[in-house]
Amino acid sequence: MSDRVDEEIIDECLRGNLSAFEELVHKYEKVMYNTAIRIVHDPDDAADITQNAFIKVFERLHRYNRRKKFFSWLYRIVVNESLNILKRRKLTIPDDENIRSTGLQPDAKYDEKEETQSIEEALLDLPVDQRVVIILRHFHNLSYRDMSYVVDASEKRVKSRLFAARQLLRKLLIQRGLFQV
Amino acid sequence: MIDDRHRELINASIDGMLSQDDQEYLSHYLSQNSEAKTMHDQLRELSQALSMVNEAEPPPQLRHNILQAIRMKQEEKKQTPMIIRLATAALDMRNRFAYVYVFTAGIVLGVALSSVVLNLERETQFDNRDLSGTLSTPPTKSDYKPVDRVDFAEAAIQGSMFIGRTGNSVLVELTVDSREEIEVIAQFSEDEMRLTGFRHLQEGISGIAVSEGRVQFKNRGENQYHLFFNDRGPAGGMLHLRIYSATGLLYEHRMNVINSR
Repeated sequence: MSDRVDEEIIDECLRGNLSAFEELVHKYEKVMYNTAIRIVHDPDDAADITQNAFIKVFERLHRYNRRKKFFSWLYRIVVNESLNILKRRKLTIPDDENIRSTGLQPDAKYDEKEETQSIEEALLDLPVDQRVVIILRHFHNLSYRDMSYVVDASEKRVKSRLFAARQLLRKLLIQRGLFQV
Repeated sequence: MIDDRHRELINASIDGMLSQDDQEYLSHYLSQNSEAKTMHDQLRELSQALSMVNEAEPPPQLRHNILQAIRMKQEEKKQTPMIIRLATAALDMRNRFAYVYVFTAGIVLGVALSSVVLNLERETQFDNRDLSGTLSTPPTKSDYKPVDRVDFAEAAIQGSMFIGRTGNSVLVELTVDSREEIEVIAQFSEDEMRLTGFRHLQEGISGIAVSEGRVQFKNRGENQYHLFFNDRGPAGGMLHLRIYSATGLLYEHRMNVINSR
C-alpha cells in the first residue's frame, strides 16, 4: 500500500476526479470488505459497511488528516462501522441468538477446511475489541502504531490487548481440538 | 514466570517487529527460559494457523454499488444550494476558516432570503395587475383563436387542454375531472413565455404555487382553470403539462404554443 500513490490519488479526488476515487475503491475494496466480514461475520453487513465507509471517505476527504496514513483512516472508519453494526445487532437480537448463530452460517466463499472453520469460529468467540486487533494484525499486517490509530487506543494498550487476544484464542482453539495443551 | 518486558519482546518477535539486536537478545533469553520458549512457540503456532484463513471475495457488484452511491452523492452535492454547502463547511469546526464560512453563509442567506421575499411578492401580485396591463380586452375564451386541443382520459382523471391565442397572448384552458386529489404542474421556459394570469373558474384557487417557469395547483372534482401567457419571442414556446396522483404520474403532455402572428 503505497502512501505516496494514495496521496496523489487523493489530490485528484479533491480536484473532483471521480475516476481517481474509483481507483481508491479498486485498491481497498477487498481489504476493507475482509476487515468488516471478519468482525461482523455476515456478507451482507460487510458489503454495507464497506459501501458506507467509502461514502464517508468520499464525503469527508477534504477533512482527511494527511499526517495519518490513508488506509489507517479507512480501516478506522470500517472498524467503527462494524462495531456500530454489532451494537445494533445486540440491541435487536436476543443474547442467545447473537452473532454466532446469525453469522456462522456456512458460506461457500470461505475455505471449508475444518481447521479454518474452527479458527473462524474461535475468532467469533473473542470479545470484539480483541477480535479487531487480531484481525488488524494477523490478516492485515498493520503496525502497532497504525492499529493504535484505528482502534483509538495507545500502542501499549494495543499490545496488551493483542497478547490477551492471542492467549484466549489459543485456549479456544485447544477447546476445539485444533491445538494441544 | 515471564516478566512484562520479555512478554512484549516475544510478541514483537512473532509480529516481526524486533530489531536485530533485540532478536538476538531474545533468542538467547529463550534458550535459557523454557517457559518463555514454550510461549514463543505457541504464539508462533497460532500465528501460522491464522495465516491459513483465506481472504473472502467481496460480492461482484459491490464496487459498482459503491461508485453508484458516490455518483449519487456527487449529484446531490451539485444540487445542494451554496448556502447549505457553506453552512455545512462552517460546521466543520476543524476547519480553521470556519468563521469565514459562517460570515459568508450569513451574507448569502440574507441575500437569498431577500431575493425569495421580493420574488414571492412579485409573483403573488401577477394576477390582476398583469392581466390588465398586458391584455387590452377582458380575457374571455371567445377572444382567443383555437390553436390546439388535447383530450385525456386516464384511470382516475379525465379532461382536456385547450390552447388559444390572440396577438401575443396565449390562453391555456384546462378542464380536469378527478375523483381523488391530484396535482397539476404546468412548466414552460421563462425565455419563451411569461405567465401573466391564472384563473380558477369554479371556486377559489386550489393551493396554487407559482415559481420560475412553473405553475402548480391541486384539484379534486371537476374544475376549469385558465392560464394566461405572453410570448417573449417570435417563436412561441413549449408547455409541459403533468398530472400527478398520490401514487405517481397520471398524465403527461407537451404542447408547442406556436406564435402564429
